[in-house]
Amino acid sequence: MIKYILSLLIICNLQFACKSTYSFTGEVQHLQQEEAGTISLRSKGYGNTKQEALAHAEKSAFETLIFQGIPGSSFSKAMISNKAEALKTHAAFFKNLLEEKTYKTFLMASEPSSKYGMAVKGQKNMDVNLKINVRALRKHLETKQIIRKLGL
Amino acid sequence: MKHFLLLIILFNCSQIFGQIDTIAEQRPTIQPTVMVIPFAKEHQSMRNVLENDIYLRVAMTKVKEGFDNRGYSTIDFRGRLKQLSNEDAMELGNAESVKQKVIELSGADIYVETEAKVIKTSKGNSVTVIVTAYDAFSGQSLANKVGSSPKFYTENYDKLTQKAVDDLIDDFLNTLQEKFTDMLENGRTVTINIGFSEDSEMDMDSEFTDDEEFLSDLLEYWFEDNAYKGYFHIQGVTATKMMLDDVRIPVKDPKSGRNYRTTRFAALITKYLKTLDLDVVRDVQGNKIFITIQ
Repeated sequence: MIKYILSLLIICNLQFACKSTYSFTGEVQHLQQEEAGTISLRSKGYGNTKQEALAHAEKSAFETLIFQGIPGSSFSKAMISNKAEALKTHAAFFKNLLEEKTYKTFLMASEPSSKYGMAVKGQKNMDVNLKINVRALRKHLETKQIIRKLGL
Repeated sequence: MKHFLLLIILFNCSQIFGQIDTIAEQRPTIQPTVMVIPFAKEHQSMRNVLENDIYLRVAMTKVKEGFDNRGYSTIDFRGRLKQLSNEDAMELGNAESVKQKVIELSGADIYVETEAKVIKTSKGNSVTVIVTAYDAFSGQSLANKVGSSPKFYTENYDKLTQKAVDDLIDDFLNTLQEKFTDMLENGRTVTINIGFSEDSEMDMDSEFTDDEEFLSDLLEYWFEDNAYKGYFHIQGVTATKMMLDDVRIPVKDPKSGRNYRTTRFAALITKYLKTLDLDVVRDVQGNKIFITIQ
């Protein structure tokens, strides 16, 4: 019996080990809009390792783009205005998109723009420049019926 | 070992079923018809504006492309304009009449007015594009946006126009979608005008029921019960007229899921008035309902 419980615990831990434990910060800035349907952003990520900080920056950029919009860009409006409700209603979808990193499908570029180092608050962080295919992301959200297609 | 495998299978099953629930129930999306039209000043011929301004045509094409990219087809303005014979267009004279005629002919629910302006400065040239979406029936503005291209030392205004539209199109369509979502949640607006024929013996102060309530009071109660989510606004009531400038009706019929037409709501009012032994004539024009009590 102990063996089974231990096995379950190991599986659960493996699942959570892949996730970033840092919370959403919204430290995302608009860089430029190069072509229609894409956006270039600079996002700050926190983590105990460089990889963790990179993943956190990418996740924050997608969360900001989807749930808040990017001021000063063509995507200033949030795709989904009620974050809490969307995360509750489509929990599995967002787990897949944000935690299991399906968002990488929509990442056209992801390059660190600063050195990974210590921040004032004592959390190691890194700036990352990202280019996102927003048109494809929106299409994906429409196909999965997370957001409505244009129309009534 | 068998039990251990079973546990792993069960664990994975829970993950798989978690994924399946993301594929929500399929719902058909009703698409209102949209037509992109050029902006023309008063006394300007829309045809001339369109034919002489290449950048405006580029802007209109890019706006249409924006709709296409979101899976939304638009009605072709030039095609509809051609349907109006030259004589008709001449007869109609000013831009407003031509616009109204083309909109009526197209059957568009929404028209998107587009304007492109070339700005030349010593620090470079740019193009500014203004787009405004209107409800074709009420003239209500649904979404508007201004987009500008960056300044470049170039005379390639086609490219600058495209950049200006790229700058605004996503936000513009998202604003339009917000209006659509609001309509779905809170209903769409119709205006209602209830009056009396000249030889009618009734008026809004005629008393009904044992409590001697006025006809206008009964109508108010009826709208409270029948307007979508009870939302309506009375612009004014006189002895001979009741004007409602905002009565909400559902976009979809809650039972059948089909489009809920203005004529159906007009029929409901007529039916109610008939229960009060009143003879009624109704007229529906777009989202305007006119009821005349005989």
